[in-house]
Amino acid sequence: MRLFRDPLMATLAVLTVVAVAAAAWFGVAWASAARDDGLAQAEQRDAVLRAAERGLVTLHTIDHREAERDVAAWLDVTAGGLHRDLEGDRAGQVEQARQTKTVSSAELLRAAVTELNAHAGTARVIAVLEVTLEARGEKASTGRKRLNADLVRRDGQWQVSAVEAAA
Amino acid sequence: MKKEHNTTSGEHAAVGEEHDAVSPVQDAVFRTRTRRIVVAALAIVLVLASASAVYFGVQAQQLRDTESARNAALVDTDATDAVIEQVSASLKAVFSYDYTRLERTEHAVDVALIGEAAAEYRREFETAAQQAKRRGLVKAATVRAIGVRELADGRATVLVFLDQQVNRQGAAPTSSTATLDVTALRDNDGTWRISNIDGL
Repeated sequence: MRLFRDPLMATLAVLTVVAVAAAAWFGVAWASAARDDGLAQAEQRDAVLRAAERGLVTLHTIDHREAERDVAAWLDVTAGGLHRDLEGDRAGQVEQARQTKTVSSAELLRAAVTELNAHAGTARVIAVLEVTLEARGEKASTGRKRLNADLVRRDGQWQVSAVEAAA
Repeated sequence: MKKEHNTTSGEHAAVGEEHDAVSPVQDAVFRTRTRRIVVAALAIVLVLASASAVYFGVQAQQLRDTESARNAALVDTDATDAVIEQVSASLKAVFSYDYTRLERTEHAVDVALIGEAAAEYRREFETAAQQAKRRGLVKAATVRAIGVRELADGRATVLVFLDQQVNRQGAAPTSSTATLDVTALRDNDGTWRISNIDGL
């Protein structure tokens, strides 16, 4: 090929071949990363943790002056059995908070996912919360709460479906 | 006919198959034009391919190089299970003792704990051992719940709810639960050893 005896042409040809090969290589790397089950699993694990933090903190937050709003927030972060229970007893929860003049807030200290089925959309989490509780006009008390929580994924959103004290 | 054929069909002339049939002037003009076209085409492909390579590379890197992606907890299930199994066994061994067989617990500490966790445990063990002997204590630890928070590069952080039941001679057993934030390191033979224990 006489054309490729031309130095400019030869250099260009080599560079082009290298660039095309590199594009193919990185294209495959991108495609495999996008379909990587491990990466998807990691993403779901962290989505579960974020939802657990938001959900558990919300479920331990209530102010008797804003009880309607706070109980509505509980319903937003829950699903399944817990959601049904809270919905059924919505008025009772609001009433109880008002009568006891409860003000409760919480902070998540640590949480870990213990089970995750990303395909089925189910997960279990253990968590430690610091809960500050004030009721009946008494001085606020702060305590640690160890919790086991179940989460389910509904329409791409993880929500708390069960919570129980771990010990 | 032959000349026309050659001048319209570039490749033939370019590769010089029938070179002798074309006049040197025509050949030179033709080669210059073909050269320009080929150079332009190669340059375009080069630019597009380079840009694509960079774009694809950056995209792939962004997907893989996040904090989330580096954390193998519950992603590498074999490694996650190994951490859970070994940390559970270590905590159970280290936080259980029998006043008649305290050397057993000391041995477990030697095997399972390293670094700050080992140093801290040994600082407190002497007092605890004397108390255990004096009062006849038998302490049994059980892992109530355990979850791996982070797992990367041979280092794991683990959240543990640990139950401890204390049996004392002539008294009712008492029990308590501790929340522990544990750091474990994997050594060369693949064994996970606890390097730090924080009570929450």
